[in-house]
Amino acid sequence: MLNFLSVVLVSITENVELPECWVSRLPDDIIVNIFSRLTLLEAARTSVVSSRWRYLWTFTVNLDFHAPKTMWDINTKIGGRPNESEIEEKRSKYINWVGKVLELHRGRYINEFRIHFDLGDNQKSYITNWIHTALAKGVQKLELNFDRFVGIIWKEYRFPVECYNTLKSPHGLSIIKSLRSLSLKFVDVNTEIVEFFIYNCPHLERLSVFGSKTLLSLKVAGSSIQLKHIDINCCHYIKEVEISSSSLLSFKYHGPQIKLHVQNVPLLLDVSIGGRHDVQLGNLIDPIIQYLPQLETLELLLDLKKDRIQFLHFELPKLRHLIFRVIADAHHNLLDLTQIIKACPFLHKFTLKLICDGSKRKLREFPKCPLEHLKVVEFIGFAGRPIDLELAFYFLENAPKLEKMIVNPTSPYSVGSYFEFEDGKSEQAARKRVKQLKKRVPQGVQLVVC
Amino acid sequence: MSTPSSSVFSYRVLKLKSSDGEIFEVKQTVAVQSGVLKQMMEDGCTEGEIPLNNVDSPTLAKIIEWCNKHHDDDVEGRVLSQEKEKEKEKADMKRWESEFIDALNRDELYFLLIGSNYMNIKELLDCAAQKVAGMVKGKTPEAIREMFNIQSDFTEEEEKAIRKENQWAFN
Repeated sequence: MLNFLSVVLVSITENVELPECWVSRLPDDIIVNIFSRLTLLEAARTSVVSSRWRYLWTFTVNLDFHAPKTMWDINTKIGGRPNESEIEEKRSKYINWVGKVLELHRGRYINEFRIHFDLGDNQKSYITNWIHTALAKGVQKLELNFDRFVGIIWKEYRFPVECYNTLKSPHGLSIIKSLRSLSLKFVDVNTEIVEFFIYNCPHLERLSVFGSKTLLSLKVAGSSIQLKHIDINCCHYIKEVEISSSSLLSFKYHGPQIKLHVQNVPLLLDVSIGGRHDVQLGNLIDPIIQYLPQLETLELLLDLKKDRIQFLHFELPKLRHLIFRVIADAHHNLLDLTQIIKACPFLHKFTLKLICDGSKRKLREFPKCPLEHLKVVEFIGFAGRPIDLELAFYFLENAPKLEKMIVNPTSPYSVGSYFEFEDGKSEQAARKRVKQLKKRVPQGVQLVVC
Repeated sequence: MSTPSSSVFSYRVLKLKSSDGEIFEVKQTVAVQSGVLKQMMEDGCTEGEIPLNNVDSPTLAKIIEWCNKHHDDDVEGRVLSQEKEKEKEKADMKRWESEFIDALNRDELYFLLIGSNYMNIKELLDCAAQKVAGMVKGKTPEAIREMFNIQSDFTEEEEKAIRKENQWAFN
């Protein structure tokens, strides 16, 4: 008896003293939560760690099929000369990847599903299948981005009609109900299909349509609509947008001149607006000018070759963050834009996203204008040339409470895209020119170079 | 905004009992962040001490610290103010959250994951899970094993077969 007891005691003590890993003691659902925060590649690599982890990654709730490195490699290798066979090979590799992962995926639920590759009509049967699989697993965030490789002949990339037809069926209507965010980029999706999603997805909060040639108009109106964020970008044939939505928080529109009707948007806080090369920005702003005083964030896309904007007798008392995305030549004067900054007495943060050739010229005098509340200034696409240096000096002189100046020489085109792999010559030169700025930055202001 | 009934609701207190027997008093408006406690309140069964058998007192203290930081007194205006304030306060809150999580040692992090999962406090669980994900990110399977002290129980052939099955991830 004594012997038996001592054997039991020893085995218990041994169990306690085993060098057990704390992560392995976590229940499966917490480990799946952790793995869902990794990229698919990182998550799948955990399959060889131990038998306990063998299939845990296949329960991940985030399926983001993003392959930025492949996109970048092909784009630089091809260098504008399309090589169809190589591209086809990459496409079928990508399709196999998505298919393989979906086949292995054992989770009952998907939170996010994202396709980002040069795909199109030839792959529509695969795409339709993927969309169905994602929707059947209750996907909340769906993104299709048929981004093209550089130098490829322009092709049709339509939202698969077969897919739309099945979504209209009673079963289809029931599975799209969980959608909260829908993003369609470089997908030709027409008004009927976009409005189908808006009016049949009761929880849809975010809608983004980028580069659709077949979206001609859009109407978002009705008390049942929960949309909080609308982003319509580069839809070159769109003629009319009508919005009446008491839940709308942010609205972004970049593109051609349209008839824009906006009403009943009491919560609208964030607007980003910009016109195509043939559109005066002022004409796009006019229909929403009455809502500017309630905004907290405003982004203006300005092409200084055509756009002249001033808010002379106008104030934006609630504006906290002002963003200018500017296309300019070296002779242009960004200091003209300080008129707009002056109209925002409580501005907290200012961001400049600059695209310019940035050649040499003399520095101009900058105006005096106290910016009492400004704490953060950010330059993306910093050239370190007079065109942006004089604006930087203007802030350093006029903002007594400035805490931070962030300088990022990467072009706004590249930030957040696979072009970030590039470190061009102009960027390296701009980095060297940051030292001109350093000399003028007073104590108490932190200069951050990205 | 508050009606009499909602202010009564705001100041009522729950008594939470940790696994090691310590009692913590928490306002209902704070406790509502826990899915489990919220359900109990809705079902009207929060009288007396609520035993939390999976959460010890140091962990419960941490969880309450988190919930106090994240709660909003104005229950009625909550949705609106959250939307409006979100952008403004997001940066400050993010900083506070990462300092809170970074200050934990591995044991504390482990018990916080277990506790927040048990009490169904989604934001806290997500934040702690993000911390562990950050530890795993960019590491080879070998480095992950070493970091977490995991012994591989695969034979060489088995491991080879799995790598082949998920070849796209190992190239």
